[in-house]
Amino acid sequence: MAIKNVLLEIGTEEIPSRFIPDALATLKKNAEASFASNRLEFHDAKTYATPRRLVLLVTQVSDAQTEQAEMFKGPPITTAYDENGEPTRAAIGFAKSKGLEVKDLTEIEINGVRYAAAEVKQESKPALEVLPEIMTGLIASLNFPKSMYWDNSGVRFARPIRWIVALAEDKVIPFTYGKVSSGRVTTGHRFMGHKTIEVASASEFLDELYDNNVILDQEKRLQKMRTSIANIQNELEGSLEVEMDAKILEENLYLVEFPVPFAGSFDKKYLEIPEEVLTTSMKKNQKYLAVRNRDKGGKLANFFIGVSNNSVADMSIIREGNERVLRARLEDAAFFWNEDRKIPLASYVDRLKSVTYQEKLGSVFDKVMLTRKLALWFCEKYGMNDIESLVDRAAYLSKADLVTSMVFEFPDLQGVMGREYAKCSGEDKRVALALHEQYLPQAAGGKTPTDDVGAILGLAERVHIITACHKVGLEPTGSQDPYALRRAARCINEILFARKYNFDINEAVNKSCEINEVDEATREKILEFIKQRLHVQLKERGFEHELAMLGISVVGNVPYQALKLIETLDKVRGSEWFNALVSSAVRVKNILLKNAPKEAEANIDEALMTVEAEKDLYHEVTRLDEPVKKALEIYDWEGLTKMLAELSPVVAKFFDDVMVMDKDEKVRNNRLALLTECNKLFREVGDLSVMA
Amino acid sequence: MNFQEVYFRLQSFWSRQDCVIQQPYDIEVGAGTMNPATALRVLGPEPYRVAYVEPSRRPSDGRYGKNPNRLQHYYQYQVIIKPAPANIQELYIESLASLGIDPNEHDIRFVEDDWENPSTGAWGLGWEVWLDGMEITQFTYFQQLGGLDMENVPAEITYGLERIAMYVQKVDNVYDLEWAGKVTYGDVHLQGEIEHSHYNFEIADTDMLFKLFNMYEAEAGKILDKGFVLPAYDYVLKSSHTFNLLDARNAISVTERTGYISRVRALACRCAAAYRKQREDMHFPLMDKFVNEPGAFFEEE
Repeated sequence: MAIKNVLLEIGTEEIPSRFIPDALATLKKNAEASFASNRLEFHDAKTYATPRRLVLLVTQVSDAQTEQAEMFKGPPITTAYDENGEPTRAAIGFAKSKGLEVKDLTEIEINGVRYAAAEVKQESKPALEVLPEIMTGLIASLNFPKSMYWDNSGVRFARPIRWIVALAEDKVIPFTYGKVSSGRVTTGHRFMGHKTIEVASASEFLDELYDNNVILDQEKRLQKMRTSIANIQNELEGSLEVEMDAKILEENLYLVEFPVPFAGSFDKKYLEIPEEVLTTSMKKNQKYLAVRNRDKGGKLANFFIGVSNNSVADMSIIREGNERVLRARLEDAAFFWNEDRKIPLASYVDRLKSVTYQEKLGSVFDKVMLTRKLALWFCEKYGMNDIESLVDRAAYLSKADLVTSMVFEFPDLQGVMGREYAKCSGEDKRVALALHEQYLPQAAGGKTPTDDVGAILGLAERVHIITACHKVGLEPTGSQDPYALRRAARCINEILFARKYNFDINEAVNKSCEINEVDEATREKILEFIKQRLHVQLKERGFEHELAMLGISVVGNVPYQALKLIETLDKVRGSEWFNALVSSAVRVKNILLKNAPKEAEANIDEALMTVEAEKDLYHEVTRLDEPVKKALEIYDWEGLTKMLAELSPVVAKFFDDVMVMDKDEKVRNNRLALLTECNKLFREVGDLSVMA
Repeated sequence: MNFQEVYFRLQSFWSRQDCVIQQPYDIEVGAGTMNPATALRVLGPEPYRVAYVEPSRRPSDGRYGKNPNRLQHYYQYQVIIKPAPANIQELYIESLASLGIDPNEHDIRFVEDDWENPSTGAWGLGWEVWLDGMEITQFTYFQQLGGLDMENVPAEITYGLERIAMYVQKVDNVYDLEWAGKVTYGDVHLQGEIEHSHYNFEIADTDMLFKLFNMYEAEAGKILDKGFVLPAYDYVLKSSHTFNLLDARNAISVTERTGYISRVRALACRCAAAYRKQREDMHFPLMDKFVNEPGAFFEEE
């Protein structure tokens, strides 16, 4: 008979909201693995959580372990029994080692040899006997980003464990974890439920909690939260819409046991402050949802939605309390906003001289000046003279907002404040935009710069910091990357991809090394570092290792074209002609590896060619030499592929019809010379043989 | 409820929980944690229960009396319960009720906020407590202090007295708080905020402060060398406050900062180790002085 439900509730003090999604997934995964390895069959395992409890519910659990027999191979029959069929000492010893009588031994046959064998049955214990250990193991197996001691029992958890409910339907699964003994007593909502609730059976657990105002199932809790927010929205003006920020919703979901969303408002005068400032105060500090006005192009409205954990008779007390907090925060922000604008943004630049960027690298001001030099080089090098003065100005102002009080208070607003203060100081619109866009993309797959000015600035700064940090030995090691150089390299490639810039990263690094007076060995390291990132990024886009390598070997110095090339090759790979070409490339390479022709014999003499296929290949290779070079030069990957497609059957035919290692040394050497030419052509489009 | 009534009630509440009601320390501190009643008593296996008001100095937070929420001198109400009993959160909520904050009328929340104080080598995990969205308390389970693991994990509860009083009195400006009768918080402290802001940001003699820092540091080391802990710790506090003043004057660059902080921490760690040893040599005299379990009133409805 099966146990209808097995329940584990780890009752805690409030676990940080951000820990919970991972804990839920881990608990489920570990439970499934642990039940299986303990030979307890079950239907399914579900996990639930609120800030005060992590819960596992396993349904239809077998009431005893599945029986299992394991077969052990013993000595061959010929040594296990003597000619009279009597067991030898070998057999007796083997049986004993498996806890069996010798008469219980059986036989197995492996590869035609018969062996004595022992079938050992693992005993089937009742579920209730093995569950305590499973449960203890599950609690211990949960890891959190940070964990703590709360008494001297030696156990750690995200926050103190205060009670444990463990039931096999109506029976307590008895165990002790730290100083807490499992039982059937849980607790309801902190303020809207009973302090102690006796749980009669695991099946009634969710309902019991629900009656005590704990909505345990996060899906249902989220549903209630969404429905209530929708109702609130209906009561707001028609054009107002709550911004359903998934992150804020999830954060709130695990901050409450019973969600009670409520709307609050703030004075319209604060809407003059840039939106990002307001939403930072609202979201980050207070975890409120923003409200936007559909009619005004999604402009922020002077409302917010908070989520209370308590449903009280007079919700206005909670609303007003929250409004007061937000008012204080916005008042602070307004103060900074007004103070910072008393002088133009450019006046802050000088103050960067007293802000250290890094001990060995000098001040932020120094960094800005070097970045500026490199940014201007980009403009010159890539014919962007029309934006040169804009890039110059943006680079000069790039870090000015760092020393404003707003950014001091809200570091996340760096860039946003630069943009806003630049606008207020009458800077060019594109300069202002660049001050923000220099930080894009902010996350993998995030928004990239929409304008060249910010893109160039972003590229220049990142190339600069990678160079500068390598120069003074601050490059990443293992998991340590204090100056986020890997991210910087990744962003460089992302920007080049998104802006479709055919920028040669080697040249940019060379220039940066020249500006920073970096030695040759370090320069090589930097180039390799950026290429490695490129390789990772290409693989993340779904291309295989080999293809990424091929792209990088041909045109890795121009990351955007490396991407285009492998996109093109990816389309033809798998086609017959491409596979044929790759096998040919491998053959050519192997033959040449063994029989590299000597320099003097490397000239091809058409007169020595005896077979048609040989001549054809010679003509084809000669014909394609120029156009292939040209295609590579102008990044014409379609054209290049087409030529390869044409070349493929000719090479194949050559190998079908021609015996390279001819008896006649002259003929042989001539053929090797032809293959060398052919290989040169292949090598221009990368080492195709890696695709084999 | 006026301002002083808030801490009277807290005194009385925690007194009923078998706490020793101590008084503020007489040296400038940045927080109630720095008071030796916390910083040293949490070390070792001995229990301790203590509560006190702590005037706390944060020179950089001065706003010349112009910001309604920010002060360079403010009051904390500090509680240490060591070891932390299992019902410590309930006790805390009960203490709010004693301030007239009925948990059934409000949204009280424990939101992740871990605490760390690099200059005393201390850290802990816990929450900021929200009252209708406002942070009114820092609640921390100490894990380490002076680089030493806690042998008996204490709970630290730090109430922001001004915040709570502002909430209870429904005022938006700290200086409007009624302290007692007609006397406001502004009457008591506004002039001090203005003057100290000027001093902290503009006047403080940084050369003198650098000298003092070095002298205090040397003195603390000397005292420790002679085997005395408590006077040495006084000089750690003095050097820490001196550092804060220098910081407010922007006299210490970002890179130098870590150096100064680690100098204070080195002394704090020495004090911690010396204190722990001293108590052991004394055979932990407080071992059975706290007999009653706090919070016996845990009620079932």
